[in-house]
Formats: sequence, structure tokens, C-alpha cells
Amino acid sequence: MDRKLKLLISDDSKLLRKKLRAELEELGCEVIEAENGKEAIMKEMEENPDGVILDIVMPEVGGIEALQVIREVSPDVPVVMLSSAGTPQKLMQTLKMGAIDFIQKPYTSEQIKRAVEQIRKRVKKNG
Amino acid sequence: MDRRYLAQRLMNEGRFSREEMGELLRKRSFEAVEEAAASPDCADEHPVITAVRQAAGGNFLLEAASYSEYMELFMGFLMDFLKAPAVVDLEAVPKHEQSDVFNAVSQRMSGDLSIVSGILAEDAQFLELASRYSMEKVSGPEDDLTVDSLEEFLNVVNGVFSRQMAEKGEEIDLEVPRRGRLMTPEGNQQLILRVYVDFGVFYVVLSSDEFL
Repeated sequence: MDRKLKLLISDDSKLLRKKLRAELEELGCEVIEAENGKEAIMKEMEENPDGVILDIVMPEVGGIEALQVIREVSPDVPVVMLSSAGTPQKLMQTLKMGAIDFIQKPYTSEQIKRAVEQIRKRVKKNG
Repeated sequence: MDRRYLAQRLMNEGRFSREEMGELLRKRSFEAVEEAAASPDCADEHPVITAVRQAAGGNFLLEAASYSEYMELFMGFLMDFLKAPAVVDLEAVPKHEQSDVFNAVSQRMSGDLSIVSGILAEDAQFLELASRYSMEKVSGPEDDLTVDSLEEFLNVVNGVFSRQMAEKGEEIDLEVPRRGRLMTPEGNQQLILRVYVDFGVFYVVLSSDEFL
């Protein structure tokens, strides 16, 4: 049986975090929250999550800057972008920077489920 | 024809006055709308765009296209996600009419074009909008979850709008939403639109720079 995934979600919207936490817990994940990119970077280093779900438009440090730092300090940690700012330019930029997927808001439960599966596969592959 | 916009089309054609439409929306009584829409002379496929252009009244020559396109998307989200049948008034709100204190959220989009969109509403409508979008019990207009829900609603609409613009070759970035309470929005190229919903009236503000 697969072990419980520990996921870090970072979004400045309290509502989004609440809804996403409920969906991820339903999928059997443990959830840690951050409300901006700076907090996401700190929590990623402190908590060593199996995967990160990052918004782009956030105060203090945005999701693209946070993705850059997380890729440098933890290159194997899979990162999924979950953002309203889903232009093709942003999509390409974040995928080139190493994000494994990009989900545009409003998301569906099916998209979240697929993202969790992708993270789980990466975790298994990385041993 | 997208049936979500039937009511808007009929109001544009003058078949229902603003007061009559407000009353129909409040009662969620759409038989009259459906009946009138069955007649073949209803042809406008984009009645929200038509209404916004009429409200702009020949002003905002550069912004009219993006403002009207934005509102069509906004109204679609309002009806789909908040289950709120809605129409936009055909007359813009003059600046001097703003006298009560409104709850407000706004978000700036900048890049190839600069546009700020915002929602202004009195307490009851602000709460109802937030509660319908979040599907949570919200306690007051200044409660964090209330404001956060409407910021997120705006953020999602604006994200889809930025993607639509990107498909036309216009790249725009979203900024972090803002919140506040104000009496009069003060922005350049500002268009204030009255939106009638089944729980009353609220306002959408569009401008070329931040008004909050």
C-alpha cells in the first residue's frame, strides 16, 4: 500500500487553501499550507514535503520566484502550478523551469487527482 | 444562442424595463423571459457586449472592446459559479451617484493593456456573492473569508480573461487583488456598471488604473 503523501500547498486565498486541503485529504494526503511564496520556500525546507502545489500571483514572493528557489534547493521535489494566470507564456515558462504540471483555475477534482498521481509517480521514481 | 443571456437580450431590446427585469430576477420568475425569447426577432448573440457598449455611450473608445468582452466573461461566471441570473444595466452609473459606503475588491491586470476590475456592493449583496461563491457560511462583510472569496472569484475570472487576451496576442499579468471600503471609486477611463441579480444590485467597476 502507498504511504501517505505529504503535500505543501501555497496560495494567498484562504478559501482556495481550505477547499484544496479538503480535496487532498480526501485523496489520503497530509497537507501543509503556506500563504505566499516566501512562506512556501521556508516550509519546503523545514518540512520536506513530497510535492508542492504553487499559485503564481501571491504577495511578498510570487509563485514563479518560489518555483525557482525550490528547484534550486530541492531539485527532485515535484511542483505543480495551480493558478488563474494560465496564459501559454506562463505555462511554458513554469514547465521550462521544472514544474511537472500546470492547472488553471477554476480547477476540477479530476485535475487535482491526476496531479496527485503524477506526484506519487515521481516520488516512487525518485525512491 | 447562449440561453444564459436571454434576459440581457430582452432588456437590451427594451422589452423589459430595468425595474421589470429587477423584479423578475428577484422572483426568479423567467416564464415571461422564455416566452418573449421564443419570438424570432431576438438575434443578438452577444447581448452583454451590446449592453456594455451602450452603457459606455461612445466614451472609452480604446477600452470599450476589452471592457465589454470582460463583462461577457464576468456575467458568464456569475451565472455558472454563483448560480445568479443577472443582467447589466444599459446605463452607466454616473460618478456623483455613488454616495453609500461600499465594500470593494479589485484586481489590476497589466502588460499589453492595463485594466482594473472590481466589485462594489453593499453589505447584503457582498455577503451573498461571497457565500454563493465559497459555499461557506460567511459572517460579515469585513470577515476575512468573505473578502477572500470575492478576491478569489475576481482572480479566477481575470485569469480566464488574461488567457483570452493572450490568444489574441495581448499578454497581461495579474497583480495581487486589493480590498477596501469606499464611497467613490476614482479611476481613469472608469466605467461603473450596475448588475441586477436575484438578490438585488451590485456594481462592477472597470478602469485603466487602480481606483481602490
